[in-house]
Amino acid sequence: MRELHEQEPNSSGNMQPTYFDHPAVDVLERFVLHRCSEDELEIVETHMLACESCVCTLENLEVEIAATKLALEHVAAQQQEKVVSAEPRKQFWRSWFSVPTLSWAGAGLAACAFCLFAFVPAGVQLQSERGTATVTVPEWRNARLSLVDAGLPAGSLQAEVVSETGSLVWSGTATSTQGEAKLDLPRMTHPGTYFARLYTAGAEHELLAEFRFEVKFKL
Amino acid sequence: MEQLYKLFSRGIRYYLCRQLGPQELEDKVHDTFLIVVNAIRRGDLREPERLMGFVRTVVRRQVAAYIEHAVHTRREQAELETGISVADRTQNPEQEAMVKQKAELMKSALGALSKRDRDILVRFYLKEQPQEQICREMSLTETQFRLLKSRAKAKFGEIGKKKLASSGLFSVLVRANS
Repeated sequence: MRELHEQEPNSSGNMQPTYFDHPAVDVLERFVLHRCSEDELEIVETHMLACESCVCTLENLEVEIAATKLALEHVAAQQQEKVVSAEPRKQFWRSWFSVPTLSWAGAGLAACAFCLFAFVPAGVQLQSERGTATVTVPEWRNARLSLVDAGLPAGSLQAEVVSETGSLVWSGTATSTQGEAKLDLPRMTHPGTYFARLYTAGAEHELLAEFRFEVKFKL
Repeated sequence: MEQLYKLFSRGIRYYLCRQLGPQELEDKVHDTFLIVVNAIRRGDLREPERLMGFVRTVVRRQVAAYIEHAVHTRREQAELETGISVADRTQNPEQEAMVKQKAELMKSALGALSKRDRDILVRFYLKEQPQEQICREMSLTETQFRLLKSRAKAKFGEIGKKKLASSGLFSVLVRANS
């Protein structure tokens, strides 16, 4: 038996293949895939029943096609998975820009700003030299005052903050080193002019320096 | 008789297995031969050159008879033994293992094919689209389709062989195929 290609004339001179000619691989493949026409099926079946080599080819083709299908299914499934997994990721990023999420994000930012405003003390430096410049301490915020005066003795000092009218607002201790005393002021809740005063520690209570500052609301 | 058996046994076995499954295959092959031999002895085969067609007719009738018997049995004995006539269509364990092994290699080979080549294979083998539909939807002539498909398969086979060779499985598969 010999192999006959699809368009090749057979030994009798016409274009129709006979039962004695080996069908082309394409035809055998169609046979395996159950896609032969009636005429083709008759030729392939009749030939194949008496041709061991074509049966062998058919068996190999069956394995090849089954493996191809399996591999294609895997690849198609993987591609599908990629598409599906890419979709939620997109949705995940998009979900960040929804109104509720943005609202929560805004609220979070506001809370952070409030914490910063309320709990982190504002650093303010005051000089003992009097002048026209006024130093402002932010209202509603803790403040750390650095009171600078070259004549301040080193060590622990008594401190007071009084209002413009002379009433005591706060008193405590401050530690002085190298002409600078630091004191942590609580929140000042009323705007106006205030004075920070430093006294010697002990019973004599001698005024060492006075510093003027303004309390104003500012961010 | 021996020559007849030698000539047709493998083809008949393959055909019956493909149509009816591997159950009682040897008995079916034997029954078919008996029918053919008896018919020849009785002189039912008037033109010896028609032997191949005659054998095909006998085999087809045998398949039809088995299916009819199975349908009848199922109808009659449905209550007692459902599934008695259900043929096992799966491949044998060796083939199964071979298919899986090849499929693993083909998976990686598929990744190396171009999108168009892969598309042709997917449409033809997986989606089982007819050639005409693939040609129409991919704007291909029949010749182009045949050429592209055979090229894709050849490329696919080439890549697969390389992978097989590198994985050391080639010799195993060659031995199994021979």
